Amino acid sequence: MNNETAYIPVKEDFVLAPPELTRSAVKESIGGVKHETVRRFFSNKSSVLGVVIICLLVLLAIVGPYISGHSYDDQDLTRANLAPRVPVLASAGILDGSEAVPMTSGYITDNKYDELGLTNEYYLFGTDKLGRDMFARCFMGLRISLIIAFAATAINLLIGMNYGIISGYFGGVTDIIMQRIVDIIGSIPTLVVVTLLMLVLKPGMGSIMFALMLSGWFEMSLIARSEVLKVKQLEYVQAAKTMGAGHLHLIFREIVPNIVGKLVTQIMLSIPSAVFLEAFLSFVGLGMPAGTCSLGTLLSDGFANALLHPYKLIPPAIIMILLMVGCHLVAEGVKKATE
Amino acid sequence: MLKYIGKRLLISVITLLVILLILFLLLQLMPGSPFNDEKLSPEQVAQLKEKYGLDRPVIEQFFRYIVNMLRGDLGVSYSLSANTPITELLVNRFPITVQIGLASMIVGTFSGLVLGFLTAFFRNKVLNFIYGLFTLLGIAVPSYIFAMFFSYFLGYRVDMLPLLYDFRTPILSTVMPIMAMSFGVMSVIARFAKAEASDVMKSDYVLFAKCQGLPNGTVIMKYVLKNSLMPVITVVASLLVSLLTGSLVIERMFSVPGVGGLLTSAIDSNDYSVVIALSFIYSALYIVVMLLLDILYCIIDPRVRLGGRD
Amino acid sequence: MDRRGMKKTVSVLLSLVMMTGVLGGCSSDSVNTELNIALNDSPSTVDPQLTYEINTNNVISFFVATLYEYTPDHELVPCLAESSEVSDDGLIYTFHLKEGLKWSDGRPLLAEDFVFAMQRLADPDVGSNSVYLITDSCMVKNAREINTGKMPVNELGVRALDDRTLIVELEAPCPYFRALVTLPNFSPCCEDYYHVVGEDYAKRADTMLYAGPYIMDRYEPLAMQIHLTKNPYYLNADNISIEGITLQVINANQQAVMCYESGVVDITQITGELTELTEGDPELHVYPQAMLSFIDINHGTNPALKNRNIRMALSKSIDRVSLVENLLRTGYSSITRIIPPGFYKDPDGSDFAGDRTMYDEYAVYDTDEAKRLWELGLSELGISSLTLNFVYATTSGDVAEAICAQMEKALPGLKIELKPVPRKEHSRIRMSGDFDMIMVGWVADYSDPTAFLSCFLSTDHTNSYNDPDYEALIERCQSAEVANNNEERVNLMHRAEEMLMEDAAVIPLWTVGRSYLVHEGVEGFRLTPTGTGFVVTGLTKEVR
Repeated sequence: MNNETAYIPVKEDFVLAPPELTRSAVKESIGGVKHETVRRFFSNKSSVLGVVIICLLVLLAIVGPYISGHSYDDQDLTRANLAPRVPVLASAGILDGSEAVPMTSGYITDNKYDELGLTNEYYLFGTDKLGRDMFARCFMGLRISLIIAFAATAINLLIGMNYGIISGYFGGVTDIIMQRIVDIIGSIPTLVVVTLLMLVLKPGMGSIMFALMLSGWFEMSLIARSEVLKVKQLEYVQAAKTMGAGHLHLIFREIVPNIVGKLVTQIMLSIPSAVFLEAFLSFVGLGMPAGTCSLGTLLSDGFANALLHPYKLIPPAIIMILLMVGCHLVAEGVKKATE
Repeated sequence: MLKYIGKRLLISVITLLVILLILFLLLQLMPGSPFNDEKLSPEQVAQLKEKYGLDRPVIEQFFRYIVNMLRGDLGVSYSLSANTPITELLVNRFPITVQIGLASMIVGTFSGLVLGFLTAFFRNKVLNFIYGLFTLLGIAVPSYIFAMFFSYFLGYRVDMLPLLYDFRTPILSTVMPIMAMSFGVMSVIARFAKAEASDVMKSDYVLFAKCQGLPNGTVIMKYVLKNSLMPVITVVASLLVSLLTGSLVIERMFSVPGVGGLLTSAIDSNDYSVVIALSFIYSALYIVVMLLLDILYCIIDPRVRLGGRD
Repeated sequence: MDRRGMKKTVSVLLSLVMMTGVLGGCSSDSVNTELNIALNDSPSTVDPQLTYEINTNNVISFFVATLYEYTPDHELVPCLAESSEVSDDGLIYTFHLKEGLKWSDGRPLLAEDFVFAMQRLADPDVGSNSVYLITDSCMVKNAREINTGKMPVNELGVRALDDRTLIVELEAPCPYFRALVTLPNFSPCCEDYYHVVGEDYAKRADTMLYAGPYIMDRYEPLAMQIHLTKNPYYLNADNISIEGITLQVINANQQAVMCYESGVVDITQITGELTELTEGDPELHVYPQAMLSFIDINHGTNPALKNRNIRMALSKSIDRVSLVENLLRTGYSSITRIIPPGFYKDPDGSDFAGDRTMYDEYAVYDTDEAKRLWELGLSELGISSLTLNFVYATTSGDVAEAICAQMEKALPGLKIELKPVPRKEHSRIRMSGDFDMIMVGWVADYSDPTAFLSCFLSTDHTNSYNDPDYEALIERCQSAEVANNNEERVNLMHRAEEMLMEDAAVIPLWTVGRSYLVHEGVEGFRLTPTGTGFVVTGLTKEVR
């Protein structure tokens, strides 16, 4: 037999790793998880499609109002109600600015561009009843709606996340009181809150944001809270706790990174619902004031006269539908990737 | 369990009171009075205010309102319908709205479940495509856009369904509003049902049941359906809200003499008392449904019964 | 493509309905003499004394009868009254009722029913929104005191001399009193019946008595569908050829057009942008309205608006013709004076406002002149730029935006803040005077120029024109000396209108006609210009 004695380790063989080392190791492993999630997210085709749609829409919201060569609020009554006309397609006879109007006495097909002698003018989405370029207006509207939705969601996130985390993390009486408040607020239908608020406040962007915020934060807080309750029980959080980590450290270093996935999903779902609600308010006559444009006002304008000029409804409707689809695809993707 | 139900009940009552208070305070902030018709002199306006008790202190008005509410008196409509008790306005409208809402809920839930379960059980390309299309459409397209398409194509171009609500044909003339409103419900339920069913299919007990040699159909009927149906109940409550919202525009479109259309008209003509009453009715309805679902859930799921739902 | 009268194809649906197990009821077959009329809004009441809106008047006009009425050609003729006379001082009107007038339950309609109706109008407990008709438009003796609770209702200066003679005492002469009583608010109300039904009066179809051509047999407050049948006791019942009428409320304009096209309704109003769809349609009828759209100016608190040059510059910077042609379209016509043409005749029989260009120099579109006046005004005020707010009802958003753009373009240094407000809030703001400019649409209650001219009196609202000379002029118009001297009165009113225009006290915009689609074969449908409602007695429908 081998008479070599086995090496018995002695205490000196073990040294604490220098703090720099541990930190980088932890970082690597967390980074690894993050990387893995991101990889999984992008390997899903529909999530990528969602991201592409959203990026495209955001880009158009930024540059769209300037690329058509017409300003979004320049009125010219003589050019009111022009049908869409697209440069290349027009020569092929599609979207050449003519429209068939279903008059009550029978269809009439006419081309207002020809009547007005605007042979070299192209309004890609046509013009509205005050002769303003619909292309620029649509993307200006998208911009306004997105600003409202992003701002409302950001505030929701800030309030809701903190509220939920505090409630879930501290538990006990704090939790009970905070949850009863949420119970009560959550039991008031959003519709009622928003309608009443819009009646009281002056119509405008700020009011809509405020109304959206008041009605949206508690959903975010419920999600944050339930995630905190789950994560709180996990071994590593418990470990960190026994090692004497402070509340702030625990919350922001251990818990928050773990609930990001759920929150991103919720954000992606609340942006479209904010846009939806804004549009709905315009329909009941409580939305953005005239003169400003948003997806909601464009939709309700187009909607009211779709029989006459359907081209005024289609572009804003498609933009809104794309936005919804994009956000949902991303939300779905994030959900799958973090599970 | 009784303790849990008692707790939920108490919260519901408090919520209701808080809502009343909030509604009342918000309404104090509203601009104008319902009598500001251009042709009335200040004295005449003051007189009308006195008649309706609008000149009393806020607190007194509030308590008066609560007492009236408990007696089932929702106040009087001032401008929308001259001097008509709101209860009278609601008597005939409420059933119609509830009927349309329930019908949309049932149609939407049923078709959503079918779509979701089928897609989960038979992983087939065509089904998957239909599922994807319908759920995306239902989520991305507002109900009023559907309503418009339906009324233009089915009502006007093809002349198949009535364009307006008609009390003489209450079933036929609500088909289009119900179709428009159930689309959103369907897509949410379908997504949820599919996700739940897929989860259950992957679970150990289903695998075990299959290993035992139980036929597929039995497994699906006995385990999958039953266990995945339960969580769907929770979504139903949240959908109710979207139905209420939808009903506002849809009822107006199809001239349905319901509560939704009444609320839009009340907003339009600054009829506070009607807005108060309807907001309260909407909230109360919502709270009651939530309460019922919670109790139902508590009966079905012992975990809730024992430990609260965390 | 004519789709009117297309047969319903229900085959696909039938199976669907079968599945639900219930079949909707069948409609009756007597469709030949049934007429379906679309309304934009539910009436806010059917109590004739309470109504104050045109939409409501339109509904009420089916079942009320008044002392005087307008013919389809807008001639004022006696209806329930046979004749009437007025005292020399213009203060006492005596109406003689026709013989054999009856309520819809067969009981006789008496002069005291009118007394009770007018008492209700003045009664503060009834709280009619239209009480101004009896306290301001015409001042019935003691009406004001009664309405403010200082006198009991039976002190009202209206009494029945006998069953067929009604006497109305006024506090000031009211030359247009006979025109005023065409409003449904002056229609009779049976006191005995009223006390029998009590609180329920006019809340349901069967808690009302009718004296007009039709009676309601289906109605509830804010009803979406109202059904009317012929009143056998109506004084001209023999001439009424339509047996039944369904009034269907359709809130969505587009839906109304589709319903009309598919033959669900025979008559519908067309408003807004959709009017474009009906241009050139032989079934489109435009009924002129005694209506003026104008921009009212704050003459009280804004020093810049006290400057005539500024006001006139604002007025002359609006291209009304372009707005009417390109945006408002059918039914609208631009106007550069206060009194709309076509509703009031001078003593020589010519139209009071026949000359549409009379005051063009003060208001017609002229950017160069507007700019010159504007700069003159600014230099007089010693400022280089001016910000004004512009209040309008949300329903007229497009027009307001267009006007704002035109003003800002023509007048350098002008900045306009748009302030859209709900309809009701709009009225309150005008009353309180909390605006720089406000867009108003005003329909005359009676055919007399003072219906418009009195909008600019200090009694009308805070911060109104309120010019002492103008006030004196209007006061003189209403005084006893002039009341019976039509020529002088008309001259005074011309002078008043000229004064408003000369001083650019108000910015007139356009007059409006209401557009209705009326199916071929339906004849005799009219709308009165003064907002008393439809003229329904001549309605006929060709039986196919």
